[in-house]
Amino acid sequence: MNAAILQAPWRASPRWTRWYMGLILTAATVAAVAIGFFAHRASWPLLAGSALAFGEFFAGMFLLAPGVLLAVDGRQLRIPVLQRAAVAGMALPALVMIGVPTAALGVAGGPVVDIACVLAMAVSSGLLMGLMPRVLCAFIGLLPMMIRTIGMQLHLPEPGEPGFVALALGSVVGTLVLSALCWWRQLRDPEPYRQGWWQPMVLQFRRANRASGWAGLAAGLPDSVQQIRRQPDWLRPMVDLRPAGPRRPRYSLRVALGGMFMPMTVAGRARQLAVAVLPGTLVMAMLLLQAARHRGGGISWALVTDWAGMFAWLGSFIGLLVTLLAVMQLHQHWQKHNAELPLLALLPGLGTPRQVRRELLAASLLPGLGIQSGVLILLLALALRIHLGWMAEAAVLLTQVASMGVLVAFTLSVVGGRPLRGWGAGVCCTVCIVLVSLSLSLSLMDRTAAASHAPWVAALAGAWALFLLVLGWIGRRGWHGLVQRRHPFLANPG
Amino acid sequence: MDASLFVIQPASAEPIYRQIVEQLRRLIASGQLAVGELLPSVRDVAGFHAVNPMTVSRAYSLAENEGLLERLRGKGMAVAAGQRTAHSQAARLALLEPQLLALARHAQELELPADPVLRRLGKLLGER
Amino acid sequence: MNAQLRDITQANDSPLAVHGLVHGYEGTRVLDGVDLALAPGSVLGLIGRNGAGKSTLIRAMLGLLEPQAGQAQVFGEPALGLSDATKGRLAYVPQQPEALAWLSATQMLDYVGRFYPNWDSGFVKGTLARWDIPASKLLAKLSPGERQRVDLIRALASRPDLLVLDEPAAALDPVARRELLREVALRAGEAGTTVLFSTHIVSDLERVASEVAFLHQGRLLIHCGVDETKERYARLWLPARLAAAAPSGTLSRRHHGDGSLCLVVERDAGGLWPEAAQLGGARLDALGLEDLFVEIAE
Repeated sequence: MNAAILQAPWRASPRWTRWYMGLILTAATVAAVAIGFFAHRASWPLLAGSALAFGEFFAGMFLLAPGVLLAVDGRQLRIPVLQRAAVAGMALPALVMIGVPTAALGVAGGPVVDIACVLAMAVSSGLLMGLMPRVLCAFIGLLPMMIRTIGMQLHLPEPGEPGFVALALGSVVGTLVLSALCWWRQLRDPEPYRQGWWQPMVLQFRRANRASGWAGLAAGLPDSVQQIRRQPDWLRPMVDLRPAGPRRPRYSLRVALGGMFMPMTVAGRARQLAVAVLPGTLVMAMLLLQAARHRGGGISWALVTDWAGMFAWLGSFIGLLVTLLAVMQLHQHWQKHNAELPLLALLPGLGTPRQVRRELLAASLLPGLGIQSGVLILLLALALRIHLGWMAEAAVLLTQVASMGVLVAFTLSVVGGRPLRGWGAGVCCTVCIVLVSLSLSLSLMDRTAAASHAPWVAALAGAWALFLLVLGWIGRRGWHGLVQRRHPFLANPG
Repeated sequence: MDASLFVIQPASAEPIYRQIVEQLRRLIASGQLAVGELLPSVRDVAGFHAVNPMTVSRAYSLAENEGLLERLRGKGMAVAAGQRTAHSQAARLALLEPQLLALARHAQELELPADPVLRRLGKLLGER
Repeated sequence: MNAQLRDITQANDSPLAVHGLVHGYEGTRVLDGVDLALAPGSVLGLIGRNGAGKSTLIRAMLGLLEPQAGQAQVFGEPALGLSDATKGRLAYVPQQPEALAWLSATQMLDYVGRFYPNWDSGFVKGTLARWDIPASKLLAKLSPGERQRVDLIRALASRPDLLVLDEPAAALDPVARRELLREVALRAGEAGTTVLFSTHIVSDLERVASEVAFLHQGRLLIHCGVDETKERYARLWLPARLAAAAPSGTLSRRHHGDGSLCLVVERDAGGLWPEAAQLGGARLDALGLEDLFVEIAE
């Protein structure tokens, strides 16, 4: 097997994964080096190894697991050497990723065997994560907590303790066997490129990441048609069509916008809530129970006060998520000229252009704003009940209002035909997320600590004002575009 | 008579309406369509061959103008009474003219003298 | 023919008319001054190479994009501001339709049908069954051909006066294509529906179209009756020694390696071919539409 064949997996990886991997591995290395410099404990090499392991987990997922794609190609094209190259191309980097840091940290005086074990576990579990059915990945979020809970109960050995090496090797072998099974299953699949809940996550990595702006943000997400195509039948949206028609233009427009805008039957809504909320509730319940056990008391308001910060975070991110979903969906709609736009543009009975404009804005804004105001009211009620203090209340209010502002501004800009080009949308989102995070962290500190941060608070308030001004400008621009358009169902240039 | 009477080749350089008229001429001249016989309706022909009905009615009108067909009130088109069931030999030979011309051209292109071509043609005709 | 077309352009009752249409993306010109008008009841086949601007032209004609210059009118109304009455008389199927993928065929047709005054639900039911479409499957999960046929049913069921189809046959198998052509041909012939469809399958066009328009590099090269086109244009081959006698102003001119010349020539007003066609050694071949298209577009 020559060098060119060994390079095949690297060449077959899309550019964005290389960049992404470079970034994560660099960050992990920097963290490891920083630990070496700043941690004064004798156990620093193990700590640095764990930092690297964190990065290498992702390397296993994004760099090694896509080897299966190459192997599938090799099988489909009847090129056996490609299949072998895929395996070799995985084994080689894996050995390097485990061997080199272990050697380096070993020279620095670290426990060689323990570090190698930690790294091997990280790499192999990353590989399994990429190869196993996508539907199982949804539960991975629960895994650390489950391991922690189980680990506390069973007293599993930690690195450095006797028995750790045996446990680690056992888990590595177990993960590798499972990975091999998934690999084999994908290779033998009669339709190996089909994407679905029971197919590996790596299949999604083939999607090219070409566009920028909202399209770039949306590139990770499949478009609405592909999304529905992949959904199992029992998850199909149960739309309530009865009231639709020319007498209810707003309702009809919501049907045509689909996704989160779509009016559903009661059963459909309940099922959607169950699917979206159940895992979250499960996590929350487990966390709360664990916390309650720590405190040694039952679930009480005092406990809720402890967790107020988390509720505030959760609420803010639900708000942001709603905005992101709504805007990305609208963006997709306003880019396709073979889907809903021509249908709506030529559909009789939606009313005069002015009415259509009004109803369209109502149909595209109200569902999102509704969820966000619901979250806002819940959070404010909670904050008032447990006396969080004015700064926290202001932060909760501000972050939710910001989500709503972003939703309104960007909806107007998309529907009005003046979406932000290039990186504008990405920068705007990042700024929003940073501002929300900073405000929440700052406001939820102790009051005494917060008082000493007065200049920071002032600076933050200034940043918020500036951000809202920018949002105002984007929204105004979009509104002008919308008023000038002869009808709102004109596609935006790609 | 149903719509499968006609053979239509849309990709041919000859317009479809001309193809229909030409085939009508042959069918009538050879007696395959008798005087007074009703033709398939425009809709049937258009539907069967998935061609534009206007093309079919154009062909029928042209054939009517030529005296091949006549319009029967409420019944559609029929082979005109003026048409003798079997044409004179000269008229029928005239219908063969394009094919004979093509044959002559091919023979010249192949630089074949007339004799063997005529002999072969005679043999083919004699076998019938 | 041309005089007649000009009359229609000026008349207000043309179902579909554009004048001086110019449009482009990012510096390239897709449409470069297109004038086109459809006579009521005509079936116009729009033909052109991939990327010739067929879809852009159709979308501009229907007011689905704002052209950089020129006007588009549908039944005399500006295409960008159609009244509900006009929208009700018009049906359009885009290339590879994807709309309302989260509904089933029955749901989608039911939803859309509520907006059209002349909706024919009997036709919907019958055709769904006849065309073997799984009516309760989500549209996103249908095959491209099935999805295309659902949208064709949507368009036909509104019993439009103007039917616009962008590459309607691309995803269809030969049997389904023939069924569609039959439906279109009979609609045009009996209900007087005006039809515009784009295609690159020329034999489809030759079957049902009454007129053909060649779009090439953003311009309309020919707009003429299908039969007239076949009778009016021919390929003239001239050997090298006659090349000097070639008429000027022909639609296409190709030089061969041996000095001979291939031209697409046109009959003059009196129905006569150019004089060079009568010279000894010259050869005049009748052209099918496909050959004509290839000769011109190459």
